[in-house]
Amino acid sequence: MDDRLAANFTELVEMHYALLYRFAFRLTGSVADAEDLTQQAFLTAQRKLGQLRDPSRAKSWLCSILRNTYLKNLRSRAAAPAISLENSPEPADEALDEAVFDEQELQDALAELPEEYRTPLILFYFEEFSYKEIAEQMQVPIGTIMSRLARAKSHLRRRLTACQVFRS
Amino acid sequence: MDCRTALEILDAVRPDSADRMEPDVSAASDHIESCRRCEDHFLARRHFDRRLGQVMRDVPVPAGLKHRLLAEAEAAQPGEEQDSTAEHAAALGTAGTADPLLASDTAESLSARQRRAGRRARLAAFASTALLLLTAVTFFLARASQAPAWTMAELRHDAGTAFQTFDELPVFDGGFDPRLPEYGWETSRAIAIARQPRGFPPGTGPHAAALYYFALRDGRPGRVDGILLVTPKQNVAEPPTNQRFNAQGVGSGPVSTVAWTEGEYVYVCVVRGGGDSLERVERALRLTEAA
Repeated sequence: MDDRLAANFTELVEMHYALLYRFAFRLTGSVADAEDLTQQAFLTAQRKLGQLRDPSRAKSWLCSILRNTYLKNLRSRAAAPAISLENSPEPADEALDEAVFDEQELQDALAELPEEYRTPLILFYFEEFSYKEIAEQMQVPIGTIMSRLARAKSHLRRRLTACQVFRS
Repeated sequence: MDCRTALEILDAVRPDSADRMEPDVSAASDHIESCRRCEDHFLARRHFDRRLGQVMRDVPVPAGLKHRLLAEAEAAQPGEEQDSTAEHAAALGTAGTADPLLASDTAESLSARQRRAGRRARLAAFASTALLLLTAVTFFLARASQAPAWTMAELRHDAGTAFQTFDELPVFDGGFDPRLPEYGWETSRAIAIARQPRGFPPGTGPHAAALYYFALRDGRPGRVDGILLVTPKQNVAEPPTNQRFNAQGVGSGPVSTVAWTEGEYVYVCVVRGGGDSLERVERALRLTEAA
């Protein structure tokens, strides 16, 4: 890799490594897996750096690489089955207001989601991408992403407020 | 639009996103504003979202991760180069031989071809927007040696051009504080204004003006789309004497503009349609101010 590309790559890592790691952690639920996944993603990005024509799209490009790497890893090992997203009633507004978030319960709730629902949800909450950008990254129609976001968020609302009921 | 659909659409939209101006999102927002029960659900969900988002993002990054990533990438480099040159040598039927000159020439010519392919792609992208950039940059450069950059006629004209080509403009480079005017632009419930301005003239900078896209929904038929241009007063010869938004006496045409000076800034508001669109904007601002 010539010096200019090497400098570009270093800058890429410095600007985006934290976001990529956090995304990887929310995908995998494991510190070790997240670090491995982040590393694999950056190694892939390094090999393909010449394909990145527009630096302003680096963040989106890197997240795509990370997601594709995650999916490849999933295919090579049996993943935990995801639950089906039900259409049960939404929790009451008061329950939403009173919800207290537990890190492990959140991660468990995320892990229950099929990957194609979990990824747009994570990208949404990181406030880095609009639904259009997420649709473009995942190469699915905008309407599909909007529907997945709505159902995934509904799942989190039910799941995270139900925990309060059991504890109380 | 029914309640469930409106709430589901808004579930996909972040509060600060320009997606709010999309037609279906606008329609969903209109429904929420007109349905008290939906508004309560929507606000409860937004509150939940904000809190959940903070927790989602609150992931500690392992100490030293950046350095480990860079070290691994550096370690990967020599091995990759050797592998690729070996592969190329094999492809040329020289497998098993070690001809450093041939290997290095092959790697170098491949790299040169890649660079040329990249340059062609960049030139093609540049050509497709050359007319717009040439017009704006030539105009700006012609005045770069003299301050200020614009007469008011020129500023209004350029604001109109920028409105037509808004999506192609770059993100504002932050060369000055692009503050919004007083009197309702940030607080009006009827005016949704994008948080991130674009820069003008097009190009990487310096940008002499910042432009905000906005949409007005005031309960009347049809939405008013427009842009708000802000530039430091020193960029304008003979800034307007108006110190407030005033839509009186504006003519009709494809776009209409109003300009005024507030403090150290000159503002130009551009909307589609005639003076009645500007009057609607003015009314929304005055209602907010009065509230």
